[in-house]
Amino acid sequence: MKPSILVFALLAILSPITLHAESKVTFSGDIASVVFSKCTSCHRPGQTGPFALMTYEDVSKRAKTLRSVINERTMPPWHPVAGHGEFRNERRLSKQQIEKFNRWVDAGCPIGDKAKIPPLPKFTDGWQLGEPDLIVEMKKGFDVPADGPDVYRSFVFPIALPEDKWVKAVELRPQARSVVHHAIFFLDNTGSARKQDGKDGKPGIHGMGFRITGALGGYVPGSSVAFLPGDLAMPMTKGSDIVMQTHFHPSGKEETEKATIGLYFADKPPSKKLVPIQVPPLFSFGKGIDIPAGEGEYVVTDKFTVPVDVDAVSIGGHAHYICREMKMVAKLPDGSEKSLLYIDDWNLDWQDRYYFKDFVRLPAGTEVHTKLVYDNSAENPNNPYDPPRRIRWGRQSTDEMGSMTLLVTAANKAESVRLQAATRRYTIQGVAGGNRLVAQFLKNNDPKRNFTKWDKNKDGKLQRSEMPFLLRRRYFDQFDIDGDGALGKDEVE
Amino acid sequence: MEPCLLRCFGLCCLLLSSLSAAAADQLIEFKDIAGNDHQPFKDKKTKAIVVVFISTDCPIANYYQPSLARLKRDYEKAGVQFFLVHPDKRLKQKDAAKHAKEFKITAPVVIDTKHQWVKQFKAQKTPEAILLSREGKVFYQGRVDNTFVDLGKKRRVGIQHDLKNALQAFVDGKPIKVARTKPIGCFISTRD
Repeated sequence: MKPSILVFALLAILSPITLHAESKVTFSGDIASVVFSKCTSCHRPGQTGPFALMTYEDVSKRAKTLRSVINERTMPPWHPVAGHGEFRNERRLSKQQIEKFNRWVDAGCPIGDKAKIPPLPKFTDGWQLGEPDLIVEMKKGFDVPADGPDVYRSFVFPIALPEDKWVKAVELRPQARSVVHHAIFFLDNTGSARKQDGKDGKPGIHGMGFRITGALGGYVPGSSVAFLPGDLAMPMTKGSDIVMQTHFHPSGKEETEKATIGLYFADKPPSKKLVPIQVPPLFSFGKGIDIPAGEGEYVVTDKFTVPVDVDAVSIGGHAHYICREMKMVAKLPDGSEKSLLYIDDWNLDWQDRYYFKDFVRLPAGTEVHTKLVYDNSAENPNNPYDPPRRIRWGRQSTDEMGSMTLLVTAANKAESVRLQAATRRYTIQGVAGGNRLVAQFLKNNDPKRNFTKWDKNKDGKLQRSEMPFLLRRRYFDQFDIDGDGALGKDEVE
Repeated sequence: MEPCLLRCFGLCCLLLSSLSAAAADQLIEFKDIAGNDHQPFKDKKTKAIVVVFISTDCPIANYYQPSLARLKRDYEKAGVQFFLVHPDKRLKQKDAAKHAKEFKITAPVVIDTKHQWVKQFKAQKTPEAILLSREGKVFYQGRVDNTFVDLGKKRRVGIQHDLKNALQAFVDGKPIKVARTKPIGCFISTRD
């Protein structure tokens, strides 16, 4: 008798609660905590998000728009596909969270118990990691137009670092947050970027025409700045300037960007060196990328075999507009596979570096495979050409390139040298492959032998437009001696 | 597709003073945020009006403000008046004025506090543009152009200027090829 009463009593107490929790999704009970932890860090005044998501009113007012971007996985911005690598600061929403949000909107966005809305997390204003060791600011503001195509521009911070340093973290504080989409921090210890700075009358450099002697990661909206794990640090050699490549989205009004960068240094060099494994090397310079117009699935693959046990710290990729997918898989000597990163909707505007939650151990003999897929069809909205054109390897953003880079340390410190020697050999093979391709191309396209064929208007000269596209800059910058915009037979000789 | 109000609308132009329906009044005679009264079709030179639903904080709606300013400049001479409507019921007049100043908006701005404009055109999103003739016929409704493939996805080339094309066809007295497009932007909230 007694137990059954107890059971009955328990049921009477529990069932309404469980039923209630399953059927009714409320802001106070379910939605607020997700929004506050995944959205509000950017969606609050002074941050990059276009509006605040801090109250019930903020969220319920935009519920339909939020549902749309959440279901499309446009927001929160997080591009790696689930199940391929586990990363720090993951901003992905789970299927259950999305489904709950949908149910909440369908139910008319009930607020629930107002008193139980969780408090907002404590956000730090100003530098997120405390006062930096070095703060540098852009010398002059750069004016971003109100509308039109996106703007890519590199800005030089002439630091001329007085001694070698090790960098634990870099924090960017843009002034015009609504227009700064992403930024990448390059190092140049040759002074080449300074010489280019402002040459076209505006602050900064158009394109990438400077020597890159190192890199310090980057910034995308939503990414949270953090120190490198353990005693790891990025080298910044004596004499280095920072060159920040910035991508701007016009916002509808003219804005001026004058960014500040904060650098955090390590006290001492790291005990283990971070070694980049770039597959294919040199952004596929040696892979002969040549994508026919309209080709929807052009695949580039390559692999590197790690000679010693390594620990993978982070992973990232780089390609231009028409790359659609990139994937890096480790094939271990025991036959098992580990997918390290998979991005199935590559977007140059969101290139990021992903830090593994825990270091990924790859034993000696592991093959690291990269697969890149390019879509040069008209259906690809990122295609820079309409109609599509043949696209080949090159440094312009409308050319293509691509690779994925795994940052590792040798598990055994003493083996780092062997690891670095192997990556160097791998890179040299890439250079040789590229050089062979270039040599072959130049041989096949020798202006001397093709002069009559190319001289379409039969004026005895080669105009720029009569030359194969890839040769134009090479020949016209070097050999148009009399500067008349055409190459005579003598100039070709 | 023409709701009753729109048919009335044409009639209203003839019988302006005698009309009493409150919702229709909203379109016949309305006040902008600066306190100016507008009766766009009272002026015989007005051939059409363009109504665009906008927002202070939708990035896509804001992105189009310079385009809208250019269209206004180019088609005003041809007798097309532009009105920008905030469907945010709770938007304060001073915030709308601040936004207009920030984005250099010169067209009259209206706050649709009772969602009469939204209901009239069954508007879904900001930005959403409507080209309305003085007879009350909707000649075009949809996006400004197809720059945005989706929220957060921008096209690089091959932009179709749908609103501009519709305006040009209307001014030239030619049929409008694409009269309806799907707007891409932020949903209009109907909540109070």
